[in-house]
Amino acid sequence: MSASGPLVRAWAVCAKDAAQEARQRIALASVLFFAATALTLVSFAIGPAGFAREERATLHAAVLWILLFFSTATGLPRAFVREEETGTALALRKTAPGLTVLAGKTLFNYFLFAAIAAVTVPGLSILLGWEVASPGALAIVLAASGYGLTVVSTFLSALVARAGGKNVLFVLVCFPLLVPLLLSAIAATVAAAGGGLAATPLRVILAYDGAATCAAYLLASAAWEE
Amino acid sequence: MFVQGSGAASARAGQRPTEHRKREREIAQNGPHHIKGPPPFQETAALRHLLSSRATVSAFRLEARELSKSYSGPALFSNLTFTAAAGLTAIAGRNGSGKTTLLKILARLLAPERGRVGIFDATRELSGEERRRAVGWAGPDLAFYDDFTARENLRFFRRASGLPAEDADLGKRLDRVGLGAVADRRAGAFSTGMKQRLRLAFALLLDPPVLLLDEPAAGLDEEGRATLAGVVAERRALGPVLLASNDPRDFASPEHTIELSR
Repeated sequence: MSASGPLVRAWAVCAKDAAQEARQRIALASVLFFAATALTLVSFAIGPAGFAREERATLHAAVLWILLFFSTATGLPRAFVREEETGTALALRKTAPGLTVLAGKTLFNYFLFAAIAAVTVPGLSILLGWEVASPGALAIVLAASGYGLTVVSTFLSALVARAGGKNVLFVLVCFPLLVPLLLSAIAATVAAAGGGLAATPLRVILAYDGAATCAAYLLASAAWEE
Repeated sequence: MFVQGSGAASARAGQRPTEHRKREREIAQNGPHHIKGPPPFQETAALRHLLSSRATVSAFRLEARELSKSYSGPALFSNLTFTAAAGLTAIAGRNGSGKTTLLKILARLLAPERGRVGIFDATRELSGEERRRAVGWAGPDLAFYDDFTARENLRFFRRASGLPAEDADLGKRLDRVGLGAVADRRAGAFSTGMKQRLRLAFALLLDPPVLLLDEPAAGLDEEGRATLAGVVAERRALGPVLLASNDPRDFASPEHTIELSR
C-alpha cells in the first residue's frame, strides 16, 4: 500500500468538488447568472458610448473587477460552507489535513474564477464595446489577480464556514483584505487594455499572491481543523 | 488499562482486567494469529493487511491524559485519564453525559479544553498523517456526499487520505458491512440503517488499528447488528476499540468500561 503525495490528494479534493458541481450545478449556475445579470444591467445603464473614450478604459476595468469580485463572493464561499452544512466536513477532516483540503478547494475555485472571467470579459467587450489592445497582458493580469482573489476567498470561506451569518461575514472580511489586490488589478487591466503591461501594479499583485499563499499555507490547519 | 477521573465526570475500570492482560500476554508470546479463547474472529483482507504490517497491531494503544471539556455550563468531564490497549472499551453514560464529545476528542475532531490524547505504537507516539490514519471513527453526525454512490464516497475518502482506491477493494469493504449489492446506489437514497453501515465502512476504510464507534448500532436491523458484532469481535483482538452506546446489548463483554456521569 503506497501513499500518494499532497498534490495528488489535493487534486482528489478538487476532482470531488468538480464532480459535485457537475451534478448539482449550484455554484456555477448562480455565479454565471449573477455575472450575466450585472453585465446586462451595467451595459444598459452605461452603454457603449456613455462616457468619453479616455474615461472608458478605467471605467471598463473597474466594472470588470467589480463583477469578478461579487461573482466570486457569490460562489467561492460555497467551497467550505457546503461541507459544513451537509455534515461532510467531519469525514473530510478525518481523512485529509487542512492544507490538502484548502489546496484542493482553491484549485477548484480557481477553475470557477476562470469560468467567470471567460464569460465576463467577452461580455464586457460585446456589450460595452471594450477594446483590449493586449489580450496577452490582460490574460496575465487576470491569471495573477485571480489567483490572489481565489486563495484569499477560499481561505476566508474556511474561516467563516462555521460562523453564523457566514455570507455577510464573508463579504465584510473579504472586502478590506482584497482592496489592495483589486486596486492593483484595475490599474494593471487599464494598462493591458491600452496595450502595455504595468510593471508596478503587477509587482504588487505578485507580492500579494506570494503573501496570500504563505498565509494560507501557515494557517490552513488552524482554519480548517478544530 | 488505567482509568481515572474526577470533577463533574468520573470513569471507572471495567470488569475483566485479568482476562485482558492474559490475552495481551498471549498475543505478545504467540502473535495475533495464535490468540486463544474469546473473542473469535475471521481473517479478512483488512485483517491480513494489518497482521502483515511491520508492527504487531496489539502494540497500539490510546492514551488520554487529564481531558476536560465543557460547553456553556458544568464540565462534561474533567481530568479524565485512561489508557486503552487492544480490546473493547465500553463508554457508557446517560444522554448528554459527553460520550460523543469524548470520542470526537479522541478522534481529534474536537479540541479538549485541557489535556491531551496520544496514539502509541509500542513506545513511539504517532503524529501527523500516521496518527490520522491510525484512528478510525464513526458517529451519528458523520455524513456522506448524497450525490455520490457508496463506492464513490469511499473512493474519494481513500484518495483524500492518500491511499489507493481500487474498485475491487472498495467492493469488498462494502460487502463486509452488507452494502455490496447497493455499492453503486446514491448515498442520499440510503435508509438510516444503510447509512449506519456506510459509517462503519468509513471507520474501517483506512484499516486503522484504533477504532472509535459512537452509537454504531443505532438504526441497524438484526443482520446489521450481527455484522457490527463481527467487526468489533475481529478488531478488538487487533487493537483498541472504544464503543460508546446507551444500549448495553452493544457491549459484548467489554474488557473495560468508562462510565461518564455528569
